Amino acid sequence: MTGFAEGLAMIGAEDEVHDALSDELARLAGNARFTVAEFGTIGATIWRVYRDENGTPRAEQPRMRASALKDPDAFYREIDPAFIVRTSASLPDDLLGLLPGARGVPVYECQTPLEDQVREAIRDSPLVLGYELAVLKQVPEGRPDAGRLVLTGHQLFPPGVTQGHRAVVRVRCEPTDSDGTVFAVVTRERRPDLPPNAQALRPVHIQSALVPADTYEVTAVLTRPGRVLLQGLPAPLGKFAGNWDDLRNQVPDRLAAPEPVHLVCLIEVSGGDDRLELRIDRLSQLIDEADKGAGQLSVSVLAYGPHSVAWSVDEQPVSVPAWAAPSPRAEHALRGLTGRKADEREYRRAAQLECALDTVARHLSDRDGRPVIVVAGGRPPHPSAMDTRTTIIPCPDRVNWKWQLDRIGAPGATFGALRDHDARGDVWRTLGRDAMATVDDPVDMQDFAMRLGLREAAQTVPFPFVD
Amino acid sequence: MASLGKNNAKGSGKRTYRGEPGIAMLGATGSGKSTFLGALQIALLKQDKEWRIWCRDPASRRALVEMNTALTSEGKFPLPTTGIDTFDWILGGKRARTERSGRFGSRSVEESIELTLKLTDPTGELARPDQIGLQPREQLVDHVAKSRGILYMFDPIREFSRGDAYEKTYSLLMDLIAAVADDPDFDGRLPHHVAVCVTKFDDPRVFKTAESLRMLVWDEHDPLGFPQVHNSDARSLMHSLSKVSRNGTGEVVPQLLEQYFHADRISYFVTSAVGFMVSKRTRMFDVQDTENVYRIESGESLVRGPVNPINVVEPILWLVEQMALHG
Repeated sequence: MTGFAEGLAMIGAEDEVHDALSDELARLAGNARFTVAEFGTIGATIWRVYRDENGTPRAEQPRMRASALKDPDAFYREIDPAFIVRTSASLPDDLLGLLPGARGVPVYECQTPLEDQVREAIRDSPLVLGYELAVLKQVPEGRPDAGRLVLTGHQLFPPGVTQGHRAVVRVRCEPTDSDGTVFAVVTRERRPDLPPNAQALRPVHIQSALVPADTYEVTAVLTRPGRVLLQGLPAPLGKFAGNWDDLRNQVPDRLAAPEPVHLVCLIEVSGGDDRLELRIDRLSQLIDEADKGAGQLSVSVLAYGPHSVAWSVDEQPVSVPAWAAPSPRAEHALRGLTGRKADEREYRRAAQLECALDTVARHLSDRDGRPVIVVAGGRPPHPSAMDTRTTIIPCPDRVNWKWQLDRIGAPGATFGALRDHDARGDVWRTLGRDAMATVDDPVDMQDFAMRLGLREAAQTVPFPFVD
Repeated sequence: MASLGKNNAKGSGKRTYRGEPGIAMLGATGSGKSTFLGALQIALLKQDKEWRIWCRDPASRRALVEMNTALTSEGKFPLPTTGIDTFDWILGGKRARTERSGRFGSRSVEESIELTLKLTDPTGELARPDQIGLQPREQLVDHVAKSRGILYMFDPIREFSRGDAYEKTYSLLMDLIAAVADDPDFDGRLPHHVAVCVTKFDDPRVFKTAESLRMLVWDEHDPLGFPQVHNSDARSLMHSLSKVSRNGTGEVVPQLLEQYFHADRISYFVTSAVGFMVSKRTRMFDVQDTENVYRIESGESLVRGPVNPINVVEPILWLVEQMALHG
């Protein structure tokens, strides 16, 4: 506290104000609150500080009766400031009259607005309740209810730590619905009479992200009481708008076995390098999206081009660079398709799509999961027989694409088409019956994947696990 | 007009015809006139009779070699004619002729024939009515009027997509009539022998039409298993194909020809210069895959498999025969 003498420059007392605020915050417990006042050139500003149910300090400007700011007795009775910060040498007369005089309320003189100082003091204050990450745990084997899911907290920060403190936690995210996985920082209800696992969890802040089912090492950084930064996830966290009680109710009793999904990508390699690159990019995006959603994802890649219709051109059969492979390997195989050298004498009106579908039909197995067939191409398939309407040269093996689709289209199979902009007709309508997009235009791949059922989980599992 | 003369007898029972029968080709652009000529050499090689073709002048020789080589070695089609190409190709071979022997008898005489075909291959553009009166058109009319035989190429696929055969044929016939009307022998009809070639037999649409009309004839001795349409059915096939002409006038083209030429001097052939596709696996004809032509990215058409011309030699030999018979 510094003395004030008219005509002297103001001497900064920011450190003293910070200390005074910290002391008040340290004493603040339960439903208690304190007020501080700033007297400045524009008048008086009052801040009331309290803790919310998580123990996080909150500051607000209370509504005051105008008379309380005119009558010193009313001011000290109703507002009862812990101290006053004077930020101006010259005060209006009514504020000069409110100065405490002999009342013993400290007056600090400084230039920094009180709001900034309150914010800084709150930021630097230690936690009064420990912060935990809301996680799911399975009741271990051998216990009654083994396998049942329990929503609980995993400690991030104990009471007393301050901003900048870090904690690392390894979480496992299960496939869930399109709302993604919720990362909620919580405190426990202060009920010493209850065991910890019976104490209700109270959200400090809730965020969510659409992350692929996987295990992640998450680093939690306390940026201030009430705010925790979570790092290490492959997708950005967004504010979760839902209700905490609803979230708790979404926790399933047990984990259902994840549905295996088999994404089969058929890619036409003819039509030029640019077009091939575009198809590869789109399929790669789709695989990434599928990775975020499905539990057990396997990916196959089949490449096809035109049939040789002339004696002078060698037949290049359908190739299978990856079959039921992990997605990184399939993506690698997909990228390896670039740089194809086209034969200038190749047929341009159709491609071996029917033979590629035949290859899929012959290779498909139930054990690889529900098939999701996606074709990225432009040319139609060769007909199985002479077609006087299109006059497209028939497939040398007389394969009928419709029959192959019937073979593949087992219950649960979905079909998507990433077609060239000028690809039209029955075949593309059929191939794109669940999801269709043109490779030339921007594709909302998340929506595309969702329409194919690639983002559907067996159940909603809103929280991550800690094993 | 070029004539087929009789002279230069070579030994007992053998006579050699020398002459310039002059055969003009008529047909729209893309109807296959140049391809037909390009396939003639290979067609002659693939038939039993000892016919051969050769040339004396370098220009005709170059055209013959280039057309033939492009088609057989590179699978490429001859470039469309841009003006009027005239080739003097010499057709040599043998034909059997029945000769009177004594008062009541007759005997078969094998005679060597060597005749110059003055083949006129004009661009199809010259057949357009808006060319009437223009110098190239007059030149074409003059060439055709002087010819004694006409290879009339009817492209059913073009007729389906454009339907301009009647219009072009009619305007050309009017010019021809005018050109020969002052001839003392003119009897109101054009004197030419006309071999009408219904082209692109290998195209699925032509093939399927013939199949649906039950006109396909299968020769079990044909090494490749190719079907044929008998010449007696060719006119009916042309008529049926013309029914789907784009503007509906195609089906009267046969009547038009028969009105301005002597009907008994017209014969119909169903042809394909490149023949049917032969399967690379079975080396045989495949009824589900007949077309022996395909188009590549650049827009160029290429031959898919071996060239096995269908009814390419036959119309020419028929014309030669008719011209020989009619002096």
